[in-house]
Amino acid sequence: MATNPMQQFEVHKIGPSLSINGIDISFTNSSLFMMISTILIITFFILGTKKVSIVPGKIQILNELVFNFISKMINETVGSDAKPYFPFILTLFIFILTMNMIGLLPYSFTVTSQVIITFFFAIVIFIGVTIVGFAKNGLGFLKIFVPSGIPVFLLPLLVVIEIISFLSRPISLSVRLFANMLAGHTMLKVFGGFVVSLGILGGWLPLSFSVALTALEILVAFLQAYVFAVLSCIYLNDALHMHH
Amino acid sequence: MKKKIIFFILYLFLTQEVMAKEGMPQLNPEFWLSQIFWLIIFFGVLYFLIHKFFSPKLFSLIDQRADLLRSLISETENNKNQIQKLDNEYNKIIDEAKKNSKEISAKLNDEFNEKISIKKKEFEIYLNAETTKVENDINHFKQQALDNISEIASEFSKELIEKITGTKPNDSNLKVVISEISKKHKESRYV
Repeated sequence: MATNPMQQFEVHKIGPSLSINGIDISFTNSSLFMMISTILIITFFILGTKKVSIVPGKIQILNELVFNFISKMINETVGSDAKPYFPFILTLFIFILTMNMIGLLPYSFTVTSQVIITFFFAIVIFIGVTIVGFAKNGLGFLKIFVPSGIPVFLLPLLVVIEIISFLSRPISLSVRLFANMLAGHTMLKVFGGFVVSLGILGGWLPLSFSVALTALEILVAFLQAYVFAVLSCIYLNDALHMHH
Repeated sequence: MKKKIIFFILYLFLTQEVMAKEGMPQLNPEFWLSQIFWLIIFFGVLYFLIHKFFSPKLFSLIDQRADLLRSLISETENNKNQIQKLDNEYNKIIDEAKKNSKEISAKLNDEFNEKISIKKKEFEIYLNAETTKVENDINHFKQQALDNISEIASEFSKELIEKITGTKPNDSNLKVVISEISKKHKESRYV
């Protein structure tokens, strides 16, 4: 077992080097776990939708549970006009959730602990939401930076604050998920290291902490995927309905 | 200004390089593009499959189930209304039957009472007639008995005198005496 708790986040190549126009696209351990997650999700959905019936089977119930959960979340946060975005939000949620959960297995790799992954998700959502906002409201989307019902002399200051707040959305969204995964896995690794170094006599206390932390991390894994999806929906809602 | 921005970006890259070396492998940009590439591939594949196959299939099933449930609910609602209607009709019929039975019962009771009173009156008339008849008969027989009593008394007296004296009394004299005695007796009774 590696002693450095940050070593688990190292990305390394698997197989030969690949490149397109000089850009390195080599398959890495991160890509491998993305692939595993994708295969697991596809298998889950194939098994759930293979023989669909009005009276559902066990896996179909789970499939419907996930569908209804996301559908309800979108309806509550955005409304019924967000139905076209359902597949994207569902894919986002289930992909992040699966990657978070797989990362909890020993000797696995947490893809969502890579800041570039979470940042890419966040920037795609940010750009997508901005495009949707302009497409739906035209230049009126810029009103999002102008809070209603405030004195005019405060407007310059508040508009600047709103712009900064809007631009920091991808950063806050990505750092939240990345930092949670990073911190949780680092702590698990540190306590795991204590168990090994203290041995059979003194390792029981950190072991019990590790067990408790694992339970907490399972919760965090779900919660962070949910928070990411909910925040995406809230940003989408801002673009579609312009609450300001 | 441009110089400042370039300097800031360079500063960020340098600091992140330092941080990566210090212990944050996530900040090492070596595999960033590769990770983004594979992320786009896998996320895209997953999105495509969910969007084109899984989502429509499950949504159509959920809609189908919702339709079925809706139709079952409406059918149940109709049946419930039908039951309610039948129940109301039943109650109405029962109420009507109760009302009719009461009316019939009251009518029969009245008829019966009327018949009873007629019969009673008839019986009373009959009874009165019979009583009058019997009283008349009694009076008649009484009168007859009273009329015959002087004759019986004269015959009895005749036989008694004959046995005591051994001579036959004169019938006309005897009758006069007896009639006088009976007159006196009647008078003494009425005084």
